[in-house]
Amino acid sequence: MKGQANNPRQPGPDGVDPLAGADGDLGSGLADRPLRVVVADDHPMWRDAVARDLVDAGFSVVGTAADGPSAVSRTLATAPDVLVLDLNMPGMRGSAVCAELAAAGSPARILVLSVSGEPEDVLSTIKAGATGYLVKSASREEFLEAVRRTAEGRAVFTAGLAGLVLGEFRRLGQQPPPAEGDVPAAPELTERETEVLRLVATGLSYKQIAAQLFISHRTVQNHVQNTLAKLQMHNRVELVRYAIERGLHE
Amino acid sequence: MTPQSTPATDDDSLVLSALWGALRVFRVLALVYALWSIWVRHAEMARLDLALMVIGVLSVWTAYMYVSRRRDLRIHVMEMVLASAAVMSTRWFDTPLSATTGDTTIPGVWQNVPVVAIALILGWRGGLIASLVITAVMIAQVGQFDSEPLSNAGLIVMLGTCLGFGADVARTEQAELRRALARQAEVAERDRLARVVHDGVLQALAFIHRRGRDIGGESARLGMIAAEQELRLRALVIGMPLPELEVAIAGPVDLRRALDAAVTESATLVASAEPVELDSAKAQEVVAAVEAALDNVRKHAGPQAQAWVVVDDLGADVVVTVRDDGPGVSQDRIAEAAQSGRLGVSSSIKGRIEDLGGRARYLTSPGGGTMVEMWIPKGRAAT
Repeated sequence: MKGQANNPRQPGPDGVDPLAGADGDLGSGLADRPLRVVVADDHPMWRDAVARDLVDAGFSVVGTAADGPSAVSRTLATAPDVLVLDLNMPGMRGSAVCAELAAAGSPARILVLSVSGEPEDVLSTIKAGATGYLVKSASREEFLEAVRRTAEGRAVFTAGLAGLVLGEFRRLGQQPPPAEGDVPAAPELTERETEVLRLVATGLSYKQIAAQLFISHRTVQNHVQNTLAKLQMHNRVELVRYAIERGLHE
Repeated sequence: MTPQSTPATDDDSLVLSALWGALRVFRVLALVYALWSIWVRHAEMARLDLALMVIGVLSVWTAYMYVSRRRDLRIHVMEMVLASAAVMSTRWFDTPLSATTGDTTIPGVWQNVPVVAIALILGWRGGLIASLVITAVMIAQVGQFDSEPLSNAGLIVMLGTCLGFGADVARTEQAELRRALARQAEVAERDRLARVVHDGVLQALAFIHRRGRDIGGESARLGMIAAEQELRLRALVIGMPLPELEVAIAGPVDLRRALDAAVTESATLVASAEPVELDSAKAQEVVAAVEAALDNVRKHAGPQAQAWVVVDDLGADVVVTVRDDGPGVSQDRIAEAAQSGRLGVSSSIKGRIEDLGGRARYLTSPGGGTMVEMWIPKGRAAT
């Protein structure tokens, strides 16, 4: 599906919404020391350009990787604040990279940067622990902003991503309730969270959403953050359950 | 398996091949049976020597057919003639009882071989005709209509027709399978192309787009051109429709995919990763309504306005929301437009959605543009 989670025409005065609508405390992470970033992309062209942009903006690029396995090892070795990850790299899918890092207990936050995401790939990477997704055609400013936000532990949500997350909750909600007691119930969104997610999906900025719902910008941010956390938590529980089942049956 | 290496024929069918193999063995066994049954009644045979000569001819034929594995119609029509002759020879060479009652013949059951073969080649009609021919020959041998062969005719006719019908089904299945394989190959090729394009061209176009904009001026214009092509190409490789497949699977369609075509140029489609299935007629109406909404965006919010089309699958209903970031239209103005007869907005969207048993409403918020929300029940329309 083109233009779903990503659309090069989207960036515009308002199109960068979730990013542009951010409040004023951005870049605070840069106050003490430069943010450390690892860039993983199998295209040298992109890898170099992204790294250069980051260095020019005062970030410290502590490592680069050209495939999935080395993205994992570089990230574990250098413990960066942010891993900028291309979705489709040789050797390992983006979701597998995220899962490996999570399993190894890496504190690095992951921002996915991709030229065109198949919705399934984007969703599985987000579920596996990435907290942001940006298309490569986003402008340099948007990109740098996204890296800062990711480093601060804030989700980088586009309208397309909100749609994917919302769709995933809808899907989970429509599954029959588990019969066995030890199977975790599907996570549910609160009414507010659903409302916020739907508004983000329609391309509204956090600021606009805050104005419409008479809540603070920060609250909007928290709602979005919560939806992501619930999804990732559910994914982890599912993985553990799957691993235990496999372990018992073998 | 390389499809090009062997020319595809009907006999690629496993079922048909197995039947031909069985027939080849049956021909030998039938001959052994014929020989044995002649041995049992050899004392009463009118011309044992000539009967054995008939068996000899059939043996040569059987040996040839066993080795050559021929499956063409011509050879089996010849086999039919030979079998008929062998049946007729019963009249003169066999025991008087066989010759007059037809309870057995010199070829025994061997004459059924060409019936089966022709059924396999020509299908149920061929099998029916072949079985009727051989029955007629057997009745002619006895020289009396109301005879043993007539009462056995049912079995032979059933054999010919049923096997022929089976062959027909096997052939149809085989053709279906071939088509499915071809389609699969098509999809695989498309995926391969998509990967290649994704890894090379799209990356480069996205790069030009971004760099161009960063540099500014003339380069920014080049960047915009690259962006446009990137969008088109991505649409092509990711959302390429397979019309044949869509038609083959009539019924529910994926609303995301249906909408995809409508929103390519003008808006961003936001949806789940999972397909959103909707009855195909309904989906068409929804697409038309969304197109109308996007038309309104172009007309009222200007060419600079951006739009988002959000598909939210609630299970029993689908909610499609179209929002733009234009100046927005007040509720009063929409009502006013409806009253003054300028129903463009209402009828083309509301009408369609209400026909589907759903409802549509307009929302507008300052700075938030105009929003159209359409609820469509997935089940049968109320009309």
